[in-house]
Amino acid sequence: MTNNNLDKIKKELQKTKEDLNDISSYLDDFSTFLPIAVCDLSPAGIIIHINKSFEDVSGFSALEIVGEHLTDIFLEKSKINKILNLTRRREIVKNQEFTLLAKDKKEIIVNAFFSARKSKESNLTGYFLGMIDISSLKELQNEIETKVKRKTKELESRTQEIAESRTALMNMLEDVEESRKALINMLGDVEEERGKAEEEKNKTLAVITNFADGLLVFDTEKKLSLINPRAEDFFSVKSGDLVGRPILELSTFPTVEPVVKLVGGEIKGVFRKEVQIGESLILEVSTIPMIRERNRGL
Amino acid sequence: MNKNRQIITKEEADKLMAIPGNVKGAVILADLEYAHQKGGGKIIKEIKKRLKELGYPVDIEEIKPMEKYPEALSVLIILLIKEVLNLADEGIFEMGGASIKLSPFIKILTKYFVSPKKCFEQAPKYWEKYFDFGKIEPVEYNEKEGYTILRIIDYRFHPIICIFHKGYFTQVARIVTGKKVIKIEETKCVYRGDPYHEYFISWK
Repeated sequence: MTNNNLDKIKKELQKTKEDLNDISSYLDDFSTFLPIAVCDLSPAGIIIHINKSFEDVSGFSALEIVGEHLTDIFLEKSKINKILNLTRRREIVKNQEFTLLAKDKKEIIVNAFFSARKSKESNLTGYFLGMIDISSLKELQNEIETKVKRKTKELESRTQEIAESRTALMNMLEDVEESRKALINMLGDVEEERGKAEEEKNKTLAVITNFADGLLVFDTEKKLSLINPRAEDFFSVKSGDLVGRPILELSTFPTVEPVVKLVGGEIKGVFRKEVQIGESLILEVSTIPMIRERNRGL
Repeated sequence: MNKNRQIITKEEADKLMAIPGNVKGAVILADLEYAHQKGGGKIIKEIKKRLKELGYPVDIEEIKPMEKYPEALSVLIILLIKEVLNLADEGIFEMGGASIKLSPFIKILTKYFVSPKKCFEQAPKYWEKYFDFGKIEPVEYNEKEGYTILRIIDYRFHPIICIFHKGYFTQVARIVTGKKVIKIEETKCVYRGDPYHEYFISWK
């Protein structure tokens, strides 16, 4: 090899070294600038490099965290190992939610992305992990979910109240319906009783009207409540003039006066006593108490 | 924290800087990043000041990951980080582990971390990507019992690097095995009269 060739190779080598230094510097600057937290992992899951954003998010410096296993800084340790195995097969696994355990013990929710690093021969040489702090988003999501849950619960409670009110209303309607039926039944009974009473009354009136003797019926207050046609004939009076008057007032009617004198204001018990009415009529008078349940009449 | 703070002398620095061999700037950058994370910008200024005092002024900001720099400078910077941060052996061990965590090359080196066996087999290639001297030799790998034995040959700069490498190998083993408990022992060491450094690394 000539000296010229050697010089040329040395110059090329020097140029290559300078290019490599520039690339290294560029990569360092880019890694420092990158707002996403990134780390390199060995195939065993050991952290071997972190960028500036990773330091900022986790609070760990490279000196503190490089050499530690990835599971040491995440809450979901078994899930980390599963995802690394999955990444080995799929090469890229996106959008995995994990809880990063920061240096100050704070738990930070992150969205993580995993990528497998492989050699030309497709042998696994490690992994890249990128992650974004989504704590604020998660907090907002949790707040919204809590609100939705609370509102849903309130709505369920209101629905329950309405359902209970409806049931209560339906029960009330049933009660009212039953009461209505009971009232109708009662009205039927009353109507039936009233019919019976009317029938009895008509029968009694028929008996009284057609009775051969004269009848004067007084109520418990000693007022005339009935006078039959035969008695009207005996006393030459009209039922309408006498009915409703107290017995003592009946003495104002001359034909009735003798009878009033005989029985008195209190309607004493009399049995077949004769009374002279006018010049040609002698009546035989008897008083009989009428007992209807607890009341007494004449 | 180290109770007996050690100050690097000009004589020690000169002796160290005379040892040949180069390393990629990425290794030095990872160590400086560790210092920066531990003590901030003032620590970096302090290291720059000390390098100048010792007669090896370096524009740290201009170190490029792909360029080669003397491994002696890398070791001197580790010694100065230990000095200004007053680190004990535990701190050096942690810095060794941080070297892999904070390496700008970590993004392209992950292909070596596929499995413990692959990492063991590829260790010599891995070494060659960083260093233009010495070598790493995979001696034994036992997956069943969970251990490996590695040798570093033709590497003799400073005993502090034995602790640094223990931290480094421990962190690599943690990454490739995924195990929390890693044990490491330097079973042979050139500073104890052995012909090479040998590390027994086990995990469970």
